[in-house]
Amino acid sequence: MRVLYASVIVALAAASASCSKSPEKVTTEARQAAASWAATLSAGAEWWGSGKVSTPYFRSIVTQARTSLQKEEKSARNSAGEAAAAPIRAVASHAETIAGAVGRGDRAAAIVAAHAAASEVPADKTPAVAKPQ
Amino acid sequence: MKNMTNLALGIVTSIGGFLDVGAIATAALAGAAFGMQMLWVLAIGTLCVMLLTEMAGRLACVSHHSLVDAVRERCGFRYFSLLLIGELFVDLLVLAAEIGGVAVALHLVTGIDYRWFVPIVAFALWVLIWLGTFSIVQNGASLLGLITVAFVVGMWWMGPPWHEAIRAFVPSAPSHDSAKYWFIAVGIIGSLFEPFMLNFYASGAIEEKWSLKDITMNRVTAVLGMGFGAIIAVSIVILSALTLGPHGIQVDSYEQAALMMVQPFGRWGIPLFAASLGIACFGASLQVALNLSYLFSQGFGWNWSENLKPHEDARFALVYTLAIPVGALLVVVLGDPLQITTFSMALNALLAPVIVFPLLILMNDRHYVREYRNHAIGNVLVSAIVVIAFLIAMVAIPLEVLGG
Repeated sequence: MRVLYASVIVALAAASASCSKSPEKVTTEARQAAASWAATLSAGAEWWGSGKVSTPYFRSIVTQARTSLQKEEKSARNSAGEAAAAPIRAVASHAETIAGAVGRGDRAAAIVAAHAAASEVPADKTPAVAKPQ
Repeated sequence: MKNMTNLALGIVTSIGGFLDVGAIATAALAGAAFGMQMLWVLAIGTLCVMLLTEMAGRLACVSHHSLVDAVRERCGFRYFSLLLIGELFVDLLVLAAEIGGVAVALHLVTGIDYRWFVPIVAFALWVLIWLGTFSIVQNGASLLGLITVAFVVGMWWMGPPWHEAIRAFVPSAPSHDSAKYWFIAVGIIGSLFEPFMLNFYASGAIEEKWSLKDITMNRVTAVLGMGFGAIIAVSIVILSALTLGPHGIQVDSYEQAALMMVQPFGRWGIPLFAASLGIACFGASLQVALNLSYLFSQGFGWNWSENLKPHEDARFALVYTLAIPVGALLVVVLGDPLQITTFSMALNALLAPVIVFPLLILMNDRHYVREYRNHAIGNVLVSAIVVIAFLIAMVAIPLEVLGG
């Protein structure tokens, strides 16, 4: 029985070790998440500007984006250093600007800042018809 | 005429009750990340859930046993204990995800933190079950759930490339991010045949006193209701693929998922998404909470029926009275309702064999279903899908959690 328990623990440890993320992987994932949030802010700001989404809703998107971007920036910095975190920090900074614009009700400024955020880390756009393997 | 009305009501409630937080979340995730490529997973899952639902209903019609009741009797108390523990754990997580879904829906329209709504939603849920009867709980929530047809209208409005959509029903492997692809695939399958649904459906059949004469109605309800319901889930995948993916938006939160409705519906988009999410999740949370009561009461031989007054089946009422606050607490403690949802849906796929294989045994046992036994094709199809989903879940869940 002890041998069985020991084998299970060794197998779990090996699985955990083999599944742990490399710094490049962490940075890529953080960058992808930041790009997705930048795209969300860009689309959201456009629609807020044209009155298609309400102010409380857009504010909650901006709040979510700020929280997620801070988390992604931290994880990129911890795994691959300042250089990897810089573009994500730039998006986070634009998100702060957008939050200020939402507070003032300045839709034009929010759109400008959101487009700037989207240009910092261009998103990988998924075509509706993705190519299978 | 009365039969036709019952049939129509059965189909309509199946459509309205098909969608829940899991189906909406996994379909939105799939569309944003992989376009329409995962439609084949939905098709296979729907075929499986049609077969399983029909079997659970047939068991109730012929034997007048609910699923849990029959499993307890046929497989013994030890096996029932395993089922009880597994389902208790997963159902509580699913209940948390559903309560979280309603709270997020209210957050989307008000902008107020979703956690403030959690106790209010939990209380409303408890009051409705405490005061309501089975038909109010089941039919009322499911009829309101027809608002999810908005996803179909939205998809139609966007004018999808039909030829490509049809081709996506052919199984294919991903060109990138395999771990995520298979994790979402398991989540989609888990969201379709949630184990709680099977026992809830069979218990409902007994609550409504189905008998042999209802076998055809059960078959038609299972096939058409689930089939039309699946069309709504397919619409969410396509809508998400047409509106989120091309902008580079991935679904990391419900706020992002809601954007899929803005292009087709303009300023009505977010309120429609919120209403669809909120009503679908509220209906599903009623079912999960009730199923926990059915699970304990049928397994331990207590008095049970949603049509009885709470003092007539006090232990039945006690289970949902305890389960609802625990589910609500889990939303607040675990945070991020979307992550709770995707994880609990994948766990559903892990748990499925524990309930599906006893169901298959029962459906081949003359003592329970007499001459209404399963055909070999049904047995093989369901077994194959459930085993494959289980194996993928065994690999995909650790990979996704540990980050491979």
